[in-house]
Amino acid sequence: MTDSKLLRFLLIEDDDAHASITMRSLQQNRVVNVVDRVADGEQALEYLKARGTPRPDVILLDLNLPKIGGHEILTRIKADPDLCTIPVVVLTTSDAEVDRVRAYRHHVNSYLVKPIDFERFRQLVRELSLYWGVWNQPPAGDPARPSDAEG
Amino acid sequence: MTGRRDISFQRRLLRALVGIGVVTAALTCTLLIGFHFVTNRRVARADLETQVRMVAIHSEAALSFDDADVGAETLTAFRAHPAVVWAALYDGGGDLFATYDPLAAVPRGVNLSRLAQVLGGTGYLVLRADVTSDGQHLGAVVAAYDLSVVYNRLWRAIAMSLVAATAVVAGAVLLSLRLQRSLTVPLRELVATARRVSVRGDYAARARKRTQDEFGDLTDTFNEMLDRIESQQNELRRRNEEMQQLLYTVSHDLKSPLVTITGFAGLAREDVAQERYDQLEESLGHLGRAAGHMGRLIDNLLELSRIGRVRVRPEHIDTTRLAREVAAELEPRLAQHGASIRLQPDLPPVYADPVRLRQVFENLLTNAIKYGTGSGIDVIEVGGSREGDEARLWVRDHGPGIPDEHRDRVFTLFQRLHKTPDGTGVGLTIVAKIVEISGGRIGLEPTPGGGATFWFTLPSPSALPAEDTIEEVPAT
Repeated sequence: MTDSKLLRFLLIEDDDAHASITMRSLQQNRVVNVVDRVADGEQALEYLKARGTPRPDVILLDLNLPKIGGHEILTRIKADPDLCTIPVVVLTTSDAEVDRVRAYRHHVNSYLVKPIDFERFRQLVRELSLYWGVWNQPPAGDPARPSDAEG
Repeated sequence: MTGRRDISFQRRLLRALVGIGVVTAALTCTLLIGFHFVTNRRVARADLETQVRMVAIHSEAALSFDDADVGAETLTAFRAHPAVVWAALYDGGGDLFATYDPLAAVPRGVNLSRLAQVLGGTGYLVLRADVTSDGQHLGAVVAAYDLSVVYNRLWRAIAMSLVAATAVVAGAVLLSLRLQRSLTVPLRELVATARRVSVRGDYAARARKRTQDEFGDLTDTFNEMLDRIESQQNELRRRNEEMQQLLYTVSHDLKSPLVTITGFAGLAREDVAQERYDQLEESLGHLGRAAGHMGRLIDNLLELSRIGRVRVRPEHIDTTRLAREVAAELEPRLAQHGASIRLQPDLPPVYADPVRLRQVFENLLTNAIKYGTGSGIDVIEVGGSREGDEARLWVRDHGPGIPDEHRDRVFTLFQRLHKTPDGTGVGLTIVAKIVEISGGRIGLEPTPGGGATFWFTLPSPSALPAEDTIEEVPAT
């Protein structure tokens, strides 16, 4: 069912361990997604602005980042006419109201809290790649669009 | 039902003052009028008695010689007294001998007690004097005195008293209104201010001081109280915000290693189930590091909370000796990084808690070893100088330095510029907290030529008295 296209994720995450869990979860999901990872905000903006790098299908963004914080990166992506159409999913340990509200105010596409439970983490990442990879593609690009749209 | 206490102070004051005015005026008037009336009456009576007696003496001849004309002539002496409206001379047998009747209105033989009905007026005083000659009764003189003169004077006195009383009461009301203003205006102002504080929570509200009297003092005291409440309120708000921030960061930073631990535990379990062992080593490494990080985090947080609870009792410290001891303890770590510490030999002495100051040096030097080395000049310098009542100390590295835009965040809890496995983001917060409670300031500036210089100030020993105990304050 996810055979139409390979998904390219950009993972902006400073914590090596969290990055490792997320990447392994994304890649174990039968389809092997392509995941590029950057460790801080500066690298993320460099990656997105650079000519040669491929454009990601989904950006996974941690909020607590050194140098340039996650909220700032989100604001910059959504303010950039070239980048604002890329879906941004915040993936963070913070379930604070302020962070959630601030992220949605800056037009985040989804806000996910990293669960302290491996099975739920795994489930979250699976749904993430299904949703943004399958359900959310343009109709023309996926003729075999499944009918049960609730994930 | 409204009792006395339910009526406003203003109204009670007015009532009291008007009441006192009315009672005083009424009492004064009654006494004055009574005295005036009694005196007048007595004077009039004495006057008439003399007159009647005089006429009686002079009537002796007329009665002796039985000459009615002379009798009438004698009675005309009453003409000198306009209030005498009627007089008569009676002979020894009690028969009317002669009359004095200037109004010509009193019929013969009228009952004298009914004179008021005949002549009108308010009342008459009738006096009688016997006419005697050598002890022999010849007859009597009777005269009627019109009391309206006395009553007229009485009415005039009453009228004047009423005017005076009204003036007194009006004066009392005016005075009370003025007094009221001076009493109730500042009271109302205080009430309004208190209400603004209690209802709207506006702790910046202050009552205006209008007078230098007791109300002025009350207003000052009230405002001082509000000053204290306001500053306590602000302090409370600041502490609360700090606490919120702490909770937010603590929950995030404590959750983060838990995500790692559960994640890698799950991945490792899967690997084992699928008999894939190539990544197991890495998973277990992550697990161990995350658990270790969490332990350090908890240790540091406990340390930070201890700084807030333990009262600092400072003493005179030989800073050079203390810094040298800390540098010696850090020797293994310095060797690891190929770095060295250069101490200024005459660091200014400070007045601080030695255990805490040791921690400040430890954290700043560890920080410099961790983040300020590896750029070629791996010498960490410690120096200082005395500036007035303060000693200013600094720890300088020649590492990559800290960009201007991050300078403010350095002392904030859990703010890290570099992710290192053993950094928790609490060390510099502890340093800043210790310096703050020791009465100093802390800051960060770039080292000329590259690197970071952390400086802090502490009181000099001479500025404060010496004491040397640390007292444990029970946790709340």
